[in-house]
Amino acid sequence: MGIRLENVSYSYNKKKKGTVYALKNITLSIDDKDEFIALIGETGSGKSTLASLFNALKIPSSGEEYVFGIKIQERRKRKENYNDIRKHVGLVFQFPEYQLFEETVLNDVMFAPRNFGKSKEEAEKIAVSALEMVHFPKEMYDKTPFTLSGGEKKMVSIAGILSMEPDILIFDEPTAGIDPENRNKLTKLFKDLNEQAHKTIIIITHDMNIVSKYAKRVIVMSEGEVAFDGTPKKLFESSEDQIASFNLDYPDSIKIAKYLNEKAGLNLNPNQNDLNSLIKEILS
Amino acid sequence: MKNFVLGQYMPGDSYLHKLDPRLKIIATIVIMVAVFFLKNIYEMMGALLILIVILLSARLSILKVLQGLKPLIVLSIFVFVFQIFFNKGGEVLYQTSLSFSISSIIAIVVITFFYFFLMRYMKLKVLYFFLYVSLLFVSLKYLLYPDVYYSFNLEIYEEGMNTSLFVFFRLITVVSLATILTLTTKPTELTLGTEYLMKPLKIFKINPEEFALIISIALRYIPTILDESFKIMDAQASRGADFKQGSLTKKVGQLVSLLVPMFVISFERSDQLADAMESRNFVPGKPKTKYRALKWQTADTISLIFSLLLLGGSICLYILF
Amino acid sequence: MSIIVKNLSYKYEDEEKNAVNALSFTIENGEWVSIIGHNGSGKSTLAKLLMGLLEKKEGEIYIEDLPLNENNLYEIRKHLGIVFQNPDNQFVATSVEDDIAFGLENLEVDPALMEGMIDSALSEVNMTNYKKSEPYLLSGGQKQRVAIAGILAMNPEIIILDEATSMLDPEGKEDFINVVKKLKEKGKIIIMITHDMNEALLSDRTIVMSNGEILKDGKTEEIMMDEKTLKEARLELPSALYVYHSLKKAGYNNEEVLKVLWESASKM
Repeated sequence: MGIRLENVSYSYNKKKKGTVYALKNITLSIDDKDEFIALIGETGSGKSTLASLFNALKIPSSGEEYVFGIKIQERRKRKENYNDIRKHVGLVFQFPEYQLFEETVLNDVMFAPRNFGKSKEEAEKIAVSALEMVHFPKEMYDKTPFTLSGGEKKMVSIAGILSMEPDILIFDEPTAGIDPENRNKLTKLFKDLNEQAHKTIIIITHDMNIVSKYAKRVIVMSEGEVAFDGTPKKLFESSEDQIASFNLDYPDSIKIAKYLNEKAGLNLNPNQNDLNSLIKEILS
Repeated sequence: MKNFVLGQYMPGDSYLHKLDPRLKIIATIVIMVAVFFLKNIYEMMGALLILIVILLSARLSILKVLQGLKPLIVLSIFVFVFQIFFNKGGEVLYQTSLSFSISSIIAIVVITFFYFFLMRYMKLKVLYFFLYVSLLFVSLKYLLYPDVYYSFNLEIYEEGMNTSLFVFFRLITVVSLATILTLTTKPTELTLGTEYLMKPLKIFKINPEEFALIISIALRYIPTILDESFKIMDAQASRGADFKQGSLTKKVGQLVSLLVPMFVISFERSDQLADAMESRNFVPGKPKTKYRALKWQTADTISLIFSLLLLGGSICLYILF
Repeated sequence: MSIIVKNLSYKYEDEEKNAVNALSFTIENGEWVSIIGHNGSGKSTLAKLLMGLLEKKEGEIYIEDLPLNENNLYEIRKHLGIVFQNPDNQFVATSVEDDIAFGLENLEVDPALMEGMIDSALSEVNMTNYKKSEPYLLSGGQKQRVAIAGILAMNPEIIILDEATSMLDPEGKEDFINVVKKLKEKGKIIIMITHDMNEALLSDRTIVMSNGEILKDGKTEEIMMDEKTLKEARLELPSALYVYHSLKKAGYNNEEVLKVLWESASKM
């Protein structure tokens, strides 16, 4: 099941320039469990637009898209409700401020299950387990979300999506502007959700360190097209010109290894997916 | 949303663009007042003619001005229809009988069905609507087969016709005037002009500079806030609150989930903006210099005289006829 | 020009603990200082205090010889400029040039001189082509550079950057940092508040803050060697230095390689 796109394009009309294609001829499929995908590319490459196609916030202009068996199209059958898709594919926005609105943390996390017709008791049970998943302290469930710190707000907003019990979770720039401590909490959460709860994780990010360390698959967007779809290892093994043409950076581990090879005359394998594997390589 | 334009300003170098914003604001008000002194359809036609001459002389696209009228289409059609059917004074201009029969009812259903079905493919929706209405009219008038169930008389009177056209044209003229002002004046100039014109209000303790600053900040943030509201809607839709679906009561509840984040973000923004402004040495009420100075030129004086003449003319017409 | 902070404390009304507590330090002419710390460590509060944006502080702040208080706030702010975190919340006008003019108008600069000042500020941040643009249509990085230009036009000696790059993409960050480097060469004092360790590496001096207090204040090189302090401040070592420290711990002793590794840190 999961998500399947065939030759999908997305365009919108601009007064001056006519039709502008935000996405062109995208063909890809995403499994409903166990995947860990990094969706990368420079600003304006179409990665956010692609993500909003995944949970039917946007609808393809042409081509075919199936999300959990439902065809996403402008003219849909009466019974088909795109809310059902959004339940399967949770999208966490960059700024938690966009979604927090209830008086208490617990109520806010209950919003989604309530929308999907769960009773109050059920919703509360689900919300509590979602908050536990993000390790949010129990004594703060009754606080208003607006007085929380940035990192806490982020965790509540993620719990607010987890409470839909989605199979696929998309995070838009989850670590941008987040301090190191909270960033580590987040990456650990992604790892747990992926490995223990078997959820498919998609992160949209500019942070190559996270890409090379955690992602099992990378999708590179460039000018509205999928420019690369494969493992991070394969991506960073491709030529430097290729990486430059996508306007991408290398992860620190690779940058340092290359620098050492060049300046200190070492002969390291530069393709190290994190700093610890680089250290092992240097020591060996 | 990246194509959202502040106001409707169209860059250009016509003489209207070059006029002083103060003059443009005053002249727009003066001519609007003049239009309200006009009493009958013939005078109104004259006003419309003058408007078209102004447009052509400034090489402004009439199409662009008409686009500015778009939001008023429903209102003007309503006014027009209301006047033409219910104002029964003067001679009967046109009279016909319309009837419901099986064939005409079937025709209406079919036409309506095709109207809604084809709607999305139509570019000129207004013309399409008129086509639809006239098709309905034709079927009511000529399809009498097999029996007529009910018929009624449609009568259009002279006065109804005149008033409806009069009101319709007056609406177009007044709105076009406002559109011309915003089309040819940058938002910055518009606020600056307002600021100058509000100076006399200082006696009432209203500070025109602060007022202008408020307008400028509002103009700056409207597109940002709009953008944000779409993102908030998306974020809540991702949690099962789809604003495009669901019953009305549900929608009202969902509105809260949109409004609260918008307010919270806006308060935060105003805090941060205040800090940024203070840091740049802004002190409310303290004297400032002005980057943009307004220059009153001969063309402005001439335009002012012209608009005052129009006002005088229409007052004369009002008194004399 | 210098900034002297003596025993500075501040408490927000609805909180029990001091947001910043008994801070003392001096920043001299031409220094580039990073203030690093986790979220809520008090670093942004410090920035606001330096700008005189918070009332009822304890302790003293001097800019050159002038004490910061209500009477000479206006005078003091002529020497200071600040760029905040959110690129969207710092504009008052509907065009770039008018926005830069805002500060000049407040300083009662002669209007005849303004355009020249605006042009030179814009060229310093490489935004000359955007003079007439609407701020709304700029990217985050461009907005932040216009915000710098707005400050530069007013010609302050001290520039505070309060997490100014944290909301930018890598490209925007790079452009922004390049502008900051140029300003440093022109002799401005730069105070950069950040939690990006790679950014902090660019500075001469680093002040580490945690829970409202200064944990350590010293040369950036020394601070970056001090794994214990950084850990205590809930911060991370920059990647290259993490490798450096780990190798040393593992008993690696190829000095040549370690030296190159150390150098690489500031080039990331």
